[in-house]
Amino acid sequence: MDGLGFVTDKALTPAAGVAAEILLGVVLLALVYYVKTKLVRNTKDFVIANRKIGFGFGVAGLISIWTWAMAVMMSAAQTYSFGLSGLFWFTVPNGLAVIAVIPFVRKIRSLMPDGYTIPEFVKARFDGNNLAGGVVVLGSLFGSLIEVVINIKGTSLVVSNVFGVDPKVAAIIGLLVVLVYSILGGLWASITTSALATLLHTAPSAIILVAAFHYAGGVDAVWNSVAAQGNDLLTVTRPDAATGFGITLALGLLTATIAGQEFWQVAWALKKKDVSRTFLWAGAWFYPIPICLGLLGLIGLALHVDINTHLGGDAAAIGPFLVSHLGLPTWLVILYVIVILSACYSVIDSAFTATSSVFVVDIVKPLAPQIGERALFVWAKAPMFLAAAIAAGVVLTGVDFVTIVLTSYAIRTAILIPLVLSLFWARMTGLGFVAGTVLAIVIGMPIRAAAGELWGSLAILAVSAAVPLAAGLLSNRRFDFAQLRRVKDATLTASAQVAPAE
Amino acid sequence: MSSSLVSPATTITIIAGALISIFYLRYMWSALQRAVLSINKPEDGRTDAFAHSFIGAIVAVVASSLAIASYGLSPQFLYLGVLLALIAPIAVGYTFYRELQD
Repeated sequence: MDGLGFVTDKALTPAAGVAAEILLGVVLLALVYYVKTKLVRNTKDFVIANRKIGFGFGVAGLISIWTWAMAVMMSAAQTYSFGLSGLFWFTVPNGLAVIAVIPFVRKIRSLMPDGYTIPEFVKARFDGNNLAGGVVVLGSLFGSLIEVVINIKGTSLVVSNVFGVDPKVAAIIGLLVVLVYSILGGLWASITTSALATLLHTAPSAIILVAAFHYAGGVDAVWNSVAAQGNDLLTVTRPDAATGFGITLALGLLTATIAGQEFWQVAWALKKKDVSRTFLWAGAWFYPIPICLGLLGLIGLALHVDINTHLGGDAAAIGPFLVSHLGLPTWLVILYVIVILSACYSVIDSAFTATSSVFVVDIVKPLAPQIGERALFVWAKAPMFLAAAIAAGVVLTGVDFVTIVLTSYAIRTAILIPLVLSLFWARMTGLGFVAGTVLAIVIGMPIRAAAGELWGSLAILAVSAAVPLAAGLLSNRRFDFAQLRRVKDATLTASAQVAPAE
Repeated sequence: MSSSLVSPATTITIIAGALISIFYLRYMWSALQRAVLSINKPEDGRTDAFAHSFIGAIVAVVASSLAIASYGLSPQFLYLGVLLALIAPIAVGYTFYRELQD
């Protein structure tokens, strides 16, 4: 495979990159405008889609919400780094993380049918414990903010690498595009645009891969070149893939879904009868996306792409590099960029909606219980502006956002087991929840810094399990889960009226 | 073969992708229309009685693992990823269809 060279397409100008970002935004905006005029009439429609999301939109929306730019680019990166073992350890836990949510979302919908957010559940579960609720509000907001920042960085990485657009310009355009349509339609906008994005992640990926194989010399040449390199690159049993990133990634993915407001809000927004099968189908049909696009990493191995010379030291750039340098027609390169942009946009709009529901239900309503419907509807959009402004600040100033990432990671991992115990164990106490979460962070984060991510995660999980269990066993109180059914719908206001659609 | 269509295999995939996209968009649009028409209707009261989550999870995990492992068996298996990426929107399109039938 030494006869192949890499070429640059001169048609891939910065103007074409900006046009691709805006064009996708215009298409999504047209869809959202229709959705807004027909389906979004009040705050409840905006933050929870009036609990009317059906099986199809649920599956299609969830697949795309879970398909981060990382799922598109990292599947190829891990294959490029570890061969098929990397693809295996990246892909299998990813789909499983969505399916693993089923027992939890099923339980929460039966216990608290009129819920909206994780903090709302935690407060109701622990008799209005503001400290427990506050910890989870912080975790939810930080988690959503991180999703916005990571995916907007994904947008700028791809658009700048392929088209040479200034990364800051690419990021700001991406943020503005998503902000505009999210403000119009809330969760309905997120779900319907994500459903469209799911189509963009699948059929175009198949076309791009077949073309990439052609330009790389065909499947025989690719496969034989990788096989000739040895190193078990064509097996799924390399242990270094598991220890290098696989186990830690699996833990992180489970935390992201089970303790992620983006997933709980969909669970509460789905029609009651569709909750379990929607999450199962979404997890199962998410798999083809990394299974297909991960093969770009195998092509990179076959063509001996050099991580330093060609990729600037970042394996995540393998997909964008190959697609833009193999000599593919310009329209296919742009199609690949749209696949990644749609993945970024759908995660960002879902994160915007998550901040909106947490802000409305857990901050505005407790502070102003008598607020009118119109004012609440306006306030529902405020956190989207704020999240976009903070994400823009992070990108424009080039500030190191490691602290935000670590804080978000620590809180989400630390609340995972207390949250699970709160759902299933009647003896779980508010004190155990708060103490378990705080101690897990205080003890686990230094261990993470000293001994690495795997041991840090295990320490956080161990402490966050041991403390609530001990507190619960020492307490004689048993929570009556039936109380949760009496929690009132948080967006119902005195002035709330369901006006007919215009 | 026009250079913009790359190769016969790519052309076939483009045609298949286009047909699948039409099928997907048709049912997605119908499901959206249905959501609009039923916006004021109360839910039918059916509970979540789906009982195949555990078996479904095992099947999904095993099938995806086998698909990835099969890449190592022979070059032709590399097309399995392409096939799955084309089947996925058909499966999701089917969920829109089921939503319409409910």
